[in-house]
Amino acid sequence: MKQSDDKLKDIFNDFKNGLQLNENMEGRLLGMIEKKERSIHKRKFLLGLVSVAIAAFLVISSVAPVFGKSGTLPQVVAGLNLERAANSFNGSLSTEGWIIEELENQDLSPADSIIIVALLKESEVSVNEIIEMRNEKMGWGKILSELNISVNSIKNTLKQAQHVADEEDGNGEGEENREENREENQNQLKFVVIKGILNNIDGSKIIVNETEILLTEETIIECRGKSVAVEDLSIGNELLVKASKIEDVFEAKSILVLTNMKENNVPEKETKEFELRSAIVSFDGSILTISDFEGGILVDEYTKIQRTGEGRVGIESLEAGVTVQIHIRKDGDVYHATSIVILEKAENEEGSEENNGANNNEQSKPKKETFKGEVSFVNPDDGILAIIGCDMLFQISEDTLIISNGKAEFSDINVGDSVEIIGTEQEEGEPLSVEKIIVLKEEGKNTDNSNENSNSQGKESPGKP
Amino acid sequence: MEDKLKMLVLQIKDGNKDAFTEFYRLTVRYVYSIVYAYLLSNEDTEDVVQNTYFKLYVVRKRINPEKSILAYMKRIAINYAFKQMRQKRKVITKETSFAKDEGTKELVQEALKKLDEKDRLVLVLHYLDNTSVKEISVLVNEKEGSVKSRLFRARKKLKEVINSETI
Repeated sequence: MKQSDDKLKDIFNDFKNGLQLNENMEGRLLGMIEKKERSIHKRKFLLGLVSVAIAAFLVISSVAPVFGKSGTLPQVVAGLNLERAANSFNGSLSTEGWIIEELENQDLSPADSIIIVALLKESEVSVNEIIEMRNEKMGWGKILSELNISVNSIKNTLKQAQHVADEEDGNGEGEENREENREENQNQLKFVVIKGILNNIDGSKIIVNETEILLTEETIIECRGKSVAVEDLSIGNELLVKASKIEDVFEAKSILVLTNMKENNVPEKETKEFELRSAIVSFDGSILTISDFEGGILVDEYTKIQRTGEGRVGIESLEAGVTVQIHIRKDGDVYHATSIVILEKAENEEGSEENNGANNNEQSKPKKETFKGEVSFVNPDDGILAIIGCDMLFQISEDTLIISNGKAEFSDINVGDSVEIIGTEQEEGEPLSVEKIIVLKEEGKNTDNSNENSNSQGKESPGKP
Repeated sequence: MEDKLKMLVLQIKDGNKDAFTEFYRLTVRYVYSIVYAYLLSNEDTEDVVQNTYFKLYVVRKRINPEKSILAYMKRIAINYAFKQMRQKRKVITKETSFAKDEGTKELVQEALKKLDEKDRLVLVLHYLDNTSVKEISVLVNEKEGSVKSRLFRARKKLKEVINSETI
């Protein structure tokens, strides 16, 4: 056995020695190793480079505003923290009515509204200043840094407000605290921002968290930019309510539904939204035509119509020639106006606000008048225009808005065109300064001819088209 | 030899490429013979040997110089050979058969071809490398009894083939 094993070993030994090794194998192996080492070096170099770049970026970003309007890295982090705290905030914050109104007029996120209200409790800054900074897309971290307010103080304010709300949710001590708070805030508390879960709907009354809030005809309810009805709300919806407080009664001014509503509540058609600033060409009570937009825009009870400085107004304010900022949503084939802000009157009223308190001056304010007729004379060099039946001359300036199937130039107006002129009376003998001309070329000619007799003097009642 | 290899391993751990080349030259025939006797294909054996040394170089810093480097190499080589065998089951049929008057290498190769893959490996490790039955059982992940019976069966078969070829 041993002999036979030894014999086998010898045979295998001969076998081993008889093997011919490929001489290239060593070279190939060393080549592989070299390649591997090169790739390792390359990887290490790249990693080092990335690490250095990250370190440099972190160092620079902590002192320089590398995030643009969001500021430095610590400011960005602080801002994000604050927004997270505001988003998770569940309670109520009190503020003054005009601030709520100001916030209502802005396109701010719920978190922004909450932060602004908390911020105003902490410092003496102007709400407009904050809104302006926010509208300039500045991050909260940077805004607070510029206002020299610490993020923690705002977070603490939110925490305290939430703590109070939590205590109010409970019994016993909470009840006492509520009473104390009530007494304490009786004279100051006018408006509150409440964020929480809708627990009950009872006709014109809803309960958010534990707070009972009355709904009025003026309460605006919106979900994702769309107006919704009270019936569309469901228990469990997360709401942001801006409400006034009269004695112990909360009255909802606006409600923003933060959670996605059921599909049957808000139909999920193919929608497209955009905003335009233009002049009204016509409005028949439901279909609105504006100069920079082809086709009619549906105005219905869900359309929020506002006039800057006045708040909500009725549809009767949608007069031809009025400049509006209009938010249009395309629902399938229908263009629906979700909100219309009338700008023109506000511009005029700005002057009146400046003169507020001096009503006597109003009498000396130049009157705005509307004239309608066929153009009898045009002088583009002097910017002078005259219409048949009116012995007055009209002065066109660079500020004059000329509308003829969209925005037009003075040179587009020809003798014979039917026009509607809105202008301001000047001193005697001076041409009337024209604010707006609407050229009613095609339709206008016929209608104007028929109206010519009635407008024999070419002058309608002032201020009305 | 073991001391020399130990010294080379220490140098390889420090990244000495010359030491690695020397180590390769000293051990490649040993590794090659084991792998070849199992795979019976030059092409596949070269791949496995190359991968074995490359692996050794990659993991050089983790090598324990106190342990037998050859046993370690054998372990890596067998694992790669198993993998290669799984991928290419055609190794044996690919090789040409040899006439009676061929040399020892061809004779053994012809005999090994007729053995079961595992039997062949057990036989090669035992007679070519003097590996003990216990160590083989660990390497091929089988009980010692199985290894012994494989060894018996392979030896018998090999003898038959060799005798019939040589007589």
